Amino acid sequence: MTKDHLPNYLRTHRKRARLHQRQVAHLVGARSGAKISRYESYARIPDLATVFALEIIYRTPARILFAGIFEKARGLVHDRAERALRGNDAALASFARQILDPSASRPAKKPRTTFS
Amino acid sequence: MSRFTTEFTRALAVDIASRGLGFALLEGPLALIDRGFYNARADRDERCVTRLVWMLTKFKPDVLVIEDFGQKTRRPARVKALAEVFAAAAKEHGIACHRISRKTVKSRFPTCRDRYEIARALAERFPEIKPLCPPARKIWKSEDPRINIFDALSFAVTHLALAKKRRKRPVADNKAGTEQDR
Repeated sequence: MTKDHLPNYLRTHRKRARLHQRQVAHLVGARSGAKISRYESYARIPDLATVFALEIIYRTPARILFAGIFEKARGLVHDRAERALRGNDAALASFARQILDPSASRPAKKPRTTFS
Repeated sequence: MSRFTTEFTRALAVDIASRGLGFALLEGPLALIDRGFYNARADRDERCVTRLVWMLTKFKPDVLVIEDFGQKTRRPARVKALAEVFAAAAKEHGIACHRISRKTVKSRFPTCRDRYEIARALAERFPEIKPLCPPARKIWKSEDPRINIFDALSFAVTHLALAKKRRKRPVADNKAGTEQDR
């Protein structure tokens, strides 16, 4: 059993969309499919504009497309938030508590009364 | 693939063929992450092993699933030796290696008569590979290499189903059940 995701799932989503690397490259604005190949083999990480382009092409949120990178970033933020809890900055500690336990700070949903 | 808080088993299954290697990567029984056929004509054993090691490094699977040929197999000695090399490579990378026999796969697909019918059943389950599903082989034709992808996929699906069954089963009859599965 594992919890670790692969760095990205671009190839999976491209295959599901039945697209070629060349076609994705055209939509992303790259000159050839080689760049897409490098992204899919985890050799390169795309820039932010390309990430959003891929999100639009595959109609999937970036946090799912780049699940491994997202998990890694979340783990690092949680580590820093835990360190902030032990620090002197009270405001930051309060915010860190919300990051570590988002359900505790989220206000209860109001019942929906009107339909627009 | 919204499984951010759940655990899953990443299984890489390979099927050794005369022309190369069919593979399928699953994350849990429902998410097909990657599949394909690696063509290797010259130095095929060496190239197949290199490719497998590359896949083990890239995908970091929890388990490698290969075919269990059994004692009375008519598969070539090359294929049997290559399977042993694959198992050793998996062990070297700290990855468990499980072997699934064709008989076990057939027992998971009781309505299917042959590999091609199993491939069609798998294509229904994973619509993204439906276009790859080869037509039933005529006896005068050689085998379609795409069938090896479906063979690999059937090994992975069977392994994950059996693993799930074992986890659900109470500890007391777990030992007896493991023998039955084989």
